[in-house]
Amino acid sequence: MNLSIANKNSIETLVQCYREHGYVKVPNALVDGAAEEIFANISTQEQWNLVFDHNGTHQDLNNIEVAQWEQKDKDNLNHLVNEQAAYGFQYFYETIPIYDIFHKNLMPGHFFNEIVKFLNCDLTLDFFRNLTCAPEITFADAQITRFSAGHFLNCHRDDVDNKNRIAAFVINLTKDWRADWGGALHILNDDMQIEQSFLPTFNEINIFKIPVEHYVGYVTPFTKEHRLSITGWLRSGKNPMAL
Amino acid sequence: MTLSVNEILNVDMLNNTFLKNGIVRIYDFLTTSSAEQLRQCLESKIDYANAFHLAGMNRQASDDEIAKLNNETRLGLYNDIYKAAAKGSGFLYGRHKIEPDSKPELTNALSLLNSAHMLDLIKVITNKNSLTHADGQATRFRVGDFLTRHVDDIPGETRQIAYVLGMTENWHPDWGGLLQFFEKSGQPTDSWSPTFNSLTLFDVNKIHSVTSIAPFSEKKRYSITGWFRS
Repeated sequence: MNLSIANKNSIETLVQCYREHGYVKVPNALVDGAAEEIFANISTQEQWNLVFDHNGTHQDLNNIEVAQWEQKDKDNLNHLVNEQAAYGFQYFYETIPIYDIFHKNLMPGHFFNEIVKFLNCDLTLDFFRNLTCAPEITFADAQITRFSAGHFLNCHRDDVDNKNRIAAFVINLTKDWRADWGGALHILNDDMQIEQSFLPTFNEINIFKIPVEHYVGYVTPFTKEHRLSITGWLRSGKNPMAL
Repeated sequence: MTLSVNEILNVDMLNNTFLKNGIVRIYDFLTTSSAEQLRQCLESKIDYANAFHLAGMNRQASDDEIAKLNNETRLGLYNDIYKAAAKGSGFLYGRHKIEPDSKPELTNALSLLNSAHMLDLIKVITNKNSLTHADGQATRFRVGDFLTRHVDDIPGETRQIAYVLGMTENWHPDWGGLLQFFEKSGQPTDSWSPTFNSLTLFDVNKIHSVTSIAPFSEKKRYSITGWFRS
């Protein structure tokens, strides 16, 4: 299967939108069948890292182990996560760190490596460079993310020191998401009002310039599906994970 | 006690925005002391009925009635409401219709919206010259509450312009409770985070929702909402 960006959208229109707003959505972004192929490989994945923050430190749990916890321990975890979410930065969702998996060769031969290669091939990086008018982009890092009922990613700006992040991207791989389920990507303006909301839409890429306040809205308790995507940053400089 | 509004200085701009988008928000709508009185009233003086949609019917129950249910029945009730919501239908939130015997802050707020001065302003902003009056209800969204996508222009109704007078201070968008507008396809167009003392007006044919309040919200989302009618 050929994983590559389709050229169905006018690059001029995309560039204009990105220049004007600092964000853009690319509908029908990958060539026919590519998003389906990625989806098929991700949707069967059982093991994920359940991630959240505790007092400024990133926490990683094995989702299969958490599922086997007693209810009171699950409740405690939810309490811990939500306590910090009320007035501070917090997140709660599942992830697969494919950028690390690829560069540390943790899963040789696995499909996940193909995703990282696709994101970092010249054709893909050129597409991103053109779209964001940032020829200095040298690589993309990436993770696969899965949001289910109760998950969220609170407001943040993504501008971490020394990471050289130019723009963030989200490749949406969720089919038939309903707007009522939450989980939209919201971009805020300087007044903390919502400038733009992106609904999870299959085979659509959302790209936005860093830094900007943004968040993934709380996924409602009545949501039955998973919100799947590949997210990451387009970065400049030397890839610290490359050999 | 009377409530009063600040003078609206940018009517032309509001009119242009409304004609372009079908939605417009007026900030700092009430005077500071009026907004404060109304906020206190909504937070502490109102008995809200929890309204929800179940088995094809709109129903309601007081906080007490819900509290009295045994755990199993209460969970079953929420599960049934959520089942419909998962398919995109239904709502769950607290409301109190403003009637002549409601708290004076509420009747005053409704009188204010029905004053000749205010009706004239709303007509100018929206170009809806047929507006004659507004109704209203106090609403409360707490953790878990939501209102799925819908339009307000029910056939046979006289609703022209929907309004939301936001009365929650220092809301954070992370908490949900957004007034969100959509295209028919479900793609979001505008999302408005609750803003204290703002009056949002929108055309009743706009598809909209109030997003679910996250469990970590430490506030409740209060507002007065209703319709300007002809």
